[in-house]
Amino acid sequence: MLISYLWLKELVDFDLSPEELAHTLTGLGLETVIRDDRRGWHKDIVIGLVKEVILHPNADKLRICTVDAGGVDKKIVCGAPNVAAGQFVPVALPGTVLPDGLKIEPRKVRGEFSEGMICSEAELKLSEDHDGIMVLEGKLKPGEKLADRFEVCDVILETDLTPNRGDCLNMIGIAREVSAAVGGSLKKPTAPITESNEDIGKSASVEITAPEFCPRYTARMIKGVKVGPSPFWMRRRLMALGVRPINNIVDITNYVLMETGHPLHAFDHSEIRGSKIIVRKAGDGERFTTLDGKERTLNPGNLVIADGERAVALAGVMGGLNSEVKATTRDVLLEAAFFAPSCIRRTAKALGISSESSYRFERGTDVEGLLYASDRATSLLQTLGGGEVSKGRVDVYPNPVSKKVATLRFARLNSILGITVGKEIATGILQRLELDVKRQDENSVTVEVPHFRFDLEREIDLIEEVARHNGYDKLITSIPQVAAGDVEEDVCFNIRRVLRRHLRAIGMYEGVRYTFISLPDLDKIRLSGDHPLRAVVPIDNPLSSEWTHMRPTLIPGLVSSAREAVDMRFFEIGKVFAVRGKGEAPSERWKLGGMISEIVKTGIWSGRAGKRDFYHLKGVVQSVLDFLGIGGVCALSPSDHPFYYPKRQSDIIINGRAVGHFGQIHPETLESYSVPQEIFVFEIDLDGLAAVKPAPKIYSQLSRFPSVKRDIALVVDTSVTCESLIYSIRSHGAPYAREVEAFDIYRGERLGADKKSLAFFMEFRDDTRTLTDEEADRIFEKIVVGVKEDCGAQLRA
Amino acid sequence: MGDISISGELDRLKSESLAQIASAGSMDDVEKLRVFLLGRKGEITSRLKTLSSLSQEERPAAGAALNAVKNSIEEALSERASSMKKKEVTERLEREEFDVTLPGRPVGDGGFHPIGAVMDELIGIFQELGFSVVEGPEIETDEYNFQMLNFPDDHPARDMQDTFYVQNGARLLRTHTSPVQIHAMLKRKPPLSVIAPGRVYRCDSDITHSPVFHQLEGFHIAKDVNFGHLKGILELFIHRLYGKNTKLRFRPSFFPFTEPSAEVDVSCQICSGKGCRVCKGSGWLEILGAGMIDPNVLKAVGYDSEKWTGFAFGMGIERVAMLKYGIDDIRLLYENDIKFISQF
Repeated sequence: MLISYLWLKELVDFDLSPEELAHTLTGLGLETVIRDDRRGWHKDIVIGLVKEVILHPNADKLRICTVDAGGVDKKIVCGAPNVAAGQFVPVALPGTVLPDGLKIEPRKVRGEFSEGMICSEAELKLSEDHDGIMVLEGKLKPGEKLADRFEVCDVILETDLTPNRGDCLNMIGIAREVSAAVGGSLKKPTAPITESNEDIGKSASVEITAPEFCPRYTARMIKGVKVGPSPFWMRRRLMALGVRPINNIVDITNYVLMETGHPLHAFDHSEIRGSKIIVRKAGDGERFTTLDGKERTLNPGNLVIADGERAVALAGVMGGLNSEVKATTRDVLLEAAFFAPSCIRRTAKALGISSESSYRFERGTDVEGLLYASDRATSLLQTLGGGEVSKGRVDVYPNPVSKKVATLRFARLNSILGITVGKEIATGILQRLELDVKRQDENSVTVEVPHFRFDLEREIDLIEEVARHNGYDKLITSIPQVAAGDVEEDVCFNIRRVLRRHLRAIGMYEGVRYTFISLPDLDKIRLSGDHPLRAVVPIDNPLSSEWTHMRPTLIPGLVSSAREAVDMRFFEIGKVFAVRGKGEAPSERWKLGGMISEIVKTGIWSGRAGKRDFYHLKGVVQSVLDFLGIGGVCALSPSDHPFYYPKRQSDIIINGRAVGHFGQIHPETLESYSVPQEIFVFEIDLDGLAAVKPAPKIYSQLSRFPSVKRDIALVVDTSVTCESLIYSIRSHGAPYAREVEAFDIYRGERLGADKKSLAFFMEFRDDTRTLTDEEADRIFEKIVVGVKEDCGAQLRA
Repeated sequence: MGDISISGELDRLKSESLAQIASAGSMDDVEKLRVFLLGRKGEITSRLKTLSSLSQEERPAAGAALNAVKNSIEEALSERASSMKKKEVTERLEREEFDVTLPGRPVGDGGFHPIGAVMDELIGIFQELGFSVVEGPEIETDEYNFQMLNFPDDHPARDMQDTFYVQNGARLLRTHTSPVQIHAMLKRKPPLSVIAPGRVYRCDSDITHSPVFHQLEGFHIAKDVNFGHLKGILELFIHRLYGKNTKLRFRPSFFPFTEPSAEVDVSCQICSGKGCRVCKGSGWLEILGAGMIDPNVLKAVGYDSEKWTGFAFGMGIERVAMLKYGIDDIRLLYENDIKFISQF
């Protein structure tokens, strides 16, 4: 809502600068800023009287004017066709700076001297009117400052209103708040009307067939108006509030809308067939063209204003093309009605229209104040449009709405605010906001709420009004007794919290992606048509074709992060979603995902070299499981996820259930996401992990006896796994082989194409005595025999 | 007379030796002196050997005197040796050239996302203040997300939160963390002090709005809770987050689920309230929404609003993070660009 500072000055007595006004309104909960400061714009423009106009000797379209600019006559060259002797005009004398920054200097125009400029409205930035110079109205004196006689050096403020304050979507509403805050009196303009003898009943009748949508409909009749431009002051105020002037009739309805907040509609009476207004629900599929030229298809949830034959307006939202006021309009039927907010809101939303009118009806208008709005507009139509007002008004209001009554207990007020507000202060605030005191005693006050305050109904609403106007800064800060009570914390939340720290400590970066994916993402990660991850939750109204579904896995987000051929190490903790049974809420599960790139930031200096591979990923996964204390209870088992290399992947199994998987991303998936390098990804179900109790950690005694260290290199078929060799070494070396660790793998021509060599580091120990070299040799021999039997392993020569 | 001459000679030997030791200029010199004096053929050693030629009567006194000299020489040698060693180490270390400006070798150089870092910090502060963490679903019903939070059907207040719907309108993506209030209140009995961090969704996208973002909600319900308590908790929180000198400003505002409601501004961290580009010259930054829990909300969960009162507050994590790190485009936060993420 835009506010004109000068207009507001006319509606309420206050002594605040625009800056102070913005501050005061903001302090009342009407967040206000200065949008456009025009105080410096026109301060040097003077009013001049054109005394004589002669043709310029050297140019057909130019004239030389003699202008009285206050005791001195100036010669000014002017190109406007409308300039004429006897006019009062705004004059920029040499030295004046125009709003666009142009400085006026005396100069020669086609050989004739010109001492200034006669300005158009556009040059003064008062409108877009370039057609000619601005001609001023009223009893004026040459030499007066333009700003002293016209509202031109204004300040435009903008208030960002919360949706509960529909009553402030107008100048009087803002003025009422200012009045309540500073105590100055509110000065609502009068609306004098001279009625003719002709009764309105002769020109119009009204029938409401849908009173639940339209509790009240009133009309006034103004005959014989002259359609033309509005006076400067009105056009200026409309433009200040962002409304484009059209003609005097439309401008008056808009002006009163901005002034009172009540939407009005002016019909061309000659288009109202049968002189009859019927307020009815639209027919199903009824077509109607609004005045913006668009044809709309309606349904019975929409309300229309119809005449004897057809709809003429979409009630409360927009007028019809068929009945709008035109240059030829003579008689005007002026509507002032109250429409149910929810009806207007549904209609406006369904049709995608938001008009100044619907915006206000949605937020609630004043079912009684509409009479004042109607009279105010009628009065202006009479004065500015020269119309004749028919006697009386049509007012169909079958069930008058009673005012809401609310009681404020002073003790409750003080206990909510934590301070003691004087009873007189509290009551005074309510009264200044035009709430009528019905009853009052020691403990409470009961008030009647005016119709324009849709937001006031309960005691707490009154408490807020008192708090707002009393000032939030008066509320005293104190510390409550916060007791956590018996709210038990979520295991999964705590796991997520500590995991983040662990992952960061091992060199991973925390990533965040949108929760949205699209169906092509599922194809890119190669899910088959019946893959369980395809049970995705679709979004009804997605913002983009890339964000159509809730993600069923973190994999697409992780893979698509790998856009560059650089070192990347990401983890992400977030929810994934899946459709469950019909009518059931979709499932939501917390997942931990991670991605590391093949490329490492290398350098002798960083101590890193080469590339990462699958086993780096496995190291990260093991580190996570060990950190959570469940490394010991996890098993790895072969898996067949389509987004990984078929053989470079594994499931993580706990208690027989897969809680996650890891692997090297499939080359086709890399290609479809344009990932320029190999990447390795894991995903772990944190809700699943949260359900697993970590194995308790029990200290094992440190041996007092030294161990014997031996290395062994074994040549095996490539299909033999490291795990099976370790198992074999351990079982044949039992109980002495305590540590068995692979430290090298080698493939080479000398070994044969289908052979590989694996080297292990072993530590033999007996906890009761020191092993001798001979004993160690015997253990070693036993292992060599054993691994040959188990795995066909040969000691590498 | 022999006694005198022997003791005189010993004195001379002692003083000459000590003088030589004192002027030894290096570890080498000290070692040479040690060999010269105490070695197998050294001055002192050879004299000790001559003791056996003395008479029984002379031997104890002469031996004692010689040993005393030997002891003081040994002591002087070891002192000189340690001071020379110290000197040599010092000189060696001072002579060396070393470039400390070469980079440190990285260890575990991971990092938190700005959103995660800020969320973690805020949760930590509120946990210290006694609040417990409760979470709720991201896919909600209209009832929990709006109706029970006092958003009537067809009310313009719903326009404040553009909503994503799923399952043909049967459910929606929560537009705020406030429905967690409802879940928590229904599941538990007052008094309650809860924070609810989480991901929320709104149908809006530009450089300051993201369709996916994060909030932290908090509420406290007990007997006799008033607006001053809300101010008190938020002041404690802001002072821990931004420091004791940060000022707070409470402005009346509107949220359907609180009344009276407030927007809370804090003095701008960038310019200390003087006015700058970040605070658009106002000196204040809007950080929080808050208010006393609306009686209709308490009624919806079956709490007696005459008996229990409470306050609630909420903030956008992205906003706090963007202010903290000076980030001007919200979309950077969701792209997983390593060049961006590794800055934090």
